Amino acid sequence: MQSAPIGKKMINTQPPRQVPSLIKGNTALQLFTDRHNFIKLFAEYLNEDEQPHQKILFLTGDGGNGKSLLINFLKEKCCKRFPQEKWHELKTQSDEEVTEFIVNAPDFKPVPAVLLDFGKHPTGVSEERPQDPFYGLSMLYRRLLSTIQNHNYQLHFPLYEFACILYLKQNEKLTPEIMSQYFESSVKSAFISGIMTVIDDTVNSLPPPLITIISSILSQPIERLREHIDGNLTLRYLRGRALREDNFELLQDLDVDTELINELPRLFASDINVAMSKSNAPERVVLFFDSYEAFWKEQRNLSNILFFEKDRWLRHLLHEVLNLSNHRIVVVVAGREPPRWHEDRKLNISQEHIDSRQVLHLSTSDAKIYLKKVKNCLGSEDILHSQVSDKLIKIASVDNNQVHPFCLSLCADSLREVVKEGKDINLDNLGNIVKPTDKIRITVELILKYTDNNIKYAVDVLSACRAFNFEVYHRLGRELHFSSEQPDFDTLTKFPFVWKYEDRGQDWYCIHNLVRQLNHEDNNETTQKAHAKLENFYRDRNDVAEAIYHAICQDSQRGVSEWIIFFRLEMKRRNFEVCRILLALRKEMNF
Amino acid sequence: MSNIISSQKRNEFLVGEVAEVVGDYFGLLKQYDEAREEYNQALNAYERVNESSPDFNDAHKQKEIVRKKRDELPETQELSNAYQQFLTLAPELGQIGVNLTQWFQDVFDSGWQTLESFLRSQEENLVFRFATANRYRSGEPGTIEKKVVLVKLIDFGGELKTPLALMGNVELERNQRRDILFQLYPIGKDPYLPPGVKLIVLDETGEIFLKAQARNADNWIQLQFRGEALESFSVKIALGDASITEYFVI
Repeated sequence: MQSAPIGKKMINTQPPRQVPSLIKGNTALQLFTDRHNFIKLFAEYLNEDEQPHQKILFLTGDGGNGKSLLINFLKEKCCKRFPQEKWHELKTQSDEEVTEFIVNAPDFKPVPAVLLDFGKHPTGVSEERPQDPFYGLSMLYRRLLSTIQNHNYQLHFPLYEFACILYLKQNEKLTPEIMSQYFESSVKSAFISGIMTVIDDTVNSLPPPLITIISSILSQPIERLREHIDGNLTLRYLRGRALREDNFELLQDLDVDTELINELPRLFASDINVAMSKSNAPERVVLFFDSYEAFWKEQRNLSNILFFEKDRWLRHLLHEVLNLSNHRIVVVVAGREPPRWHEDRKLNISQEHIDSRQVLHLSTSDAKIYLKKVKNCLGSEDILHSQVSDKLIKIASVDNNQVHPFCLSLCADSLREVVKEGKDINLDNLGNIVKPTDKIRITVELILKYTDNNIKYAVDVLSACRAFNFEVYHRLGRELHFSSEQPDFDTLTKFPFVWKYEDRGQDWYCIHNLVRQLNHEDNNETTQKAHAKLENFYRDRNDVAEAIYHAICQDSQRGVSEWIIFFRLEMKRRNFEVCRILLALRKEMNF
Repeated sequence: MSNIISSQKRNEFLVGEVAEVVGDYFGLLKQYDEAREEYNQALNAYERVNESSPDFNDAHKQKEIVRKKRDELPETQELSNAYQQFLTLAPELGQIGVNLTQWFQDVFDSGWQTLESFLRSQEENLVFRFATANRYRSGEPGTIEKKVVLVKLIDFGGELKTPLALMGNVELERNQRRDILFQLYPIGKDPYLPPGVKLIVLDETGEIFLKAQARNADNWIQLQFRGEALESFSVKIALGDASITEYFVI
């Protein structure tokens, strides 16, 4: 049983002020420092038309050194096209000048961009699984279509959409709800609206040349579908492409699990290539992929065959995009190590197609610039005086003139609470640490230092969740006896170590990975209790995969034994989607 | 301590079982290389189960079963007929169409050749030589930066006795617009186009933009229009139920 929050005596007479987290969202982007060379390089990819880059830009670097922030910065602040005249003038300028101009430019053409983060954990039976060969690509497709439409452009994906329909039909998921979820952004497409119409059993239209095929997929009488014909729709939908009815028929003949699913990336690439060549397409589109290393997690020592099996759909997509040599499609990938794509004999991407760049830590001088921005953001001269700044930089340094950006930002973020509540902070006890992981541990402890016991306890409990919302939080609170009403939830979710989990939907959150990792490594007793409760919670909901996850966290042998039985069962039922969820779990838990 | 050792032995057996079942899964999906690797991992794990472990006998039995499964895996995935056909067709799916701007850089798609080269093969075809010689046209003097004329044989696969040639004439104007002329000629002994043959230009939505139809004694028909870079269109040649469509991007 945890006590209610302990009241703290205020030292500062100023009213408490809200200071945004320094490591999340817009504030993190505002504090973005350095990386001018990457910004100029990225601008070349977007603006150079005479000798355009036709490579995949691959950013490498240690975990937490700012690759994700860089990717987000590029996506949010730098996806801009300028008139060629302006660009020719701009590219002769220094990296800093180009950055300054791009970030503050008043006139530009926005470039649509989408981001797929492979590091986002799949949760239960949710379809938001960025590494999955079907759902990962479908996330990319949906985000791209939505972004494109927001920018008032049009892209059409007839082959890919058709193949998705086949896949969903085979997996008994072709329902109006799923169709709305998957093709929400593309309802303007005649094809999709035609399909939805038929499923919805309301009158509308369907493209005529595909009518027989659609009819057989949906098991609808042809006569019924013919009632909905609009002669021009197909031609409009196919946008004058050299696609014939037999192209679609051929797709229908492919085995969904062993053939069609492997060809989805090719169909997606074919569609986007043609779509991007049309006059109503944007001049560039950017596909960002973050946390590439998440395809393997701890499983780095696999044989080549198993190693390359994990990310094959992504490489297939990139391979096709490269083959089509369309410089209007810009691809940026971030991962800890350079890719080994040239080593795969089945699907080889040679190194000459990869523009691999290393993202280094911050220099000491850039770290000082960062802290200066933080000082402005916090609005407190006293807290970040030069001695404190130097101390923070020392804590976050991993080598001479090499400051770990994430560690530095976590340290700086901890000062928010000081500003907010007027507490004193003693940096002397942090010591001179050598290993960055230890630094992060200390930093996390520092972050949690200024939270009350109820919050600390809730954090330990919620560390067991891969994602949580109020319902999960409230149930855990009831069962593990901590205060878990809506105001408590609202307070908790404002902390910097509680991150929004947007992929799962509105109002879903997760505890920062570092905190979860520390609780796991320490075998935290409260976290273990929460795993037991969560196992029951997911069993009640018949989400066996998620229940197995929590079982493994408590007792690996019991959990893995159940995993084997369940995997066999689902394989026998040819329910390969659930098998893939279980394989993702195997990778995550490294067994 | 003994519990930990026993637990480790049990873990090895479980690791073997996991790898085995995943091997079965890959086998079912015809990913035989991956299946083989998983089976090898399963064999290694079963091998590590110690004689003193309660799972030893089971591991010993499973080893034989897994070895048999592995050895019976086909060497390569046998592709279905549909998949083979798809893989043959696949490279064309993402093709944008004939790029007219590349014609100015002497980059031609297969089937297209320069008028000069085509004429060499038509030395005896005086009608075609005469007709094309007269049909060159030009925009206003001084407004044309580049021009190019290419020809493609149109093959209806025996349905049409008179062979046809589609001639594309593209002129790049100083304002970067393209003046485009398509002409359809007979190239056989008959100097006339088959009556009723149609030449149609469709815009990128697939709607008819321009259309011409041969009458009883037409030596050629033609369509002329202007366009800007990246606009796409298609040219359809139709006679009765037969038609051939060429896709272009300017």
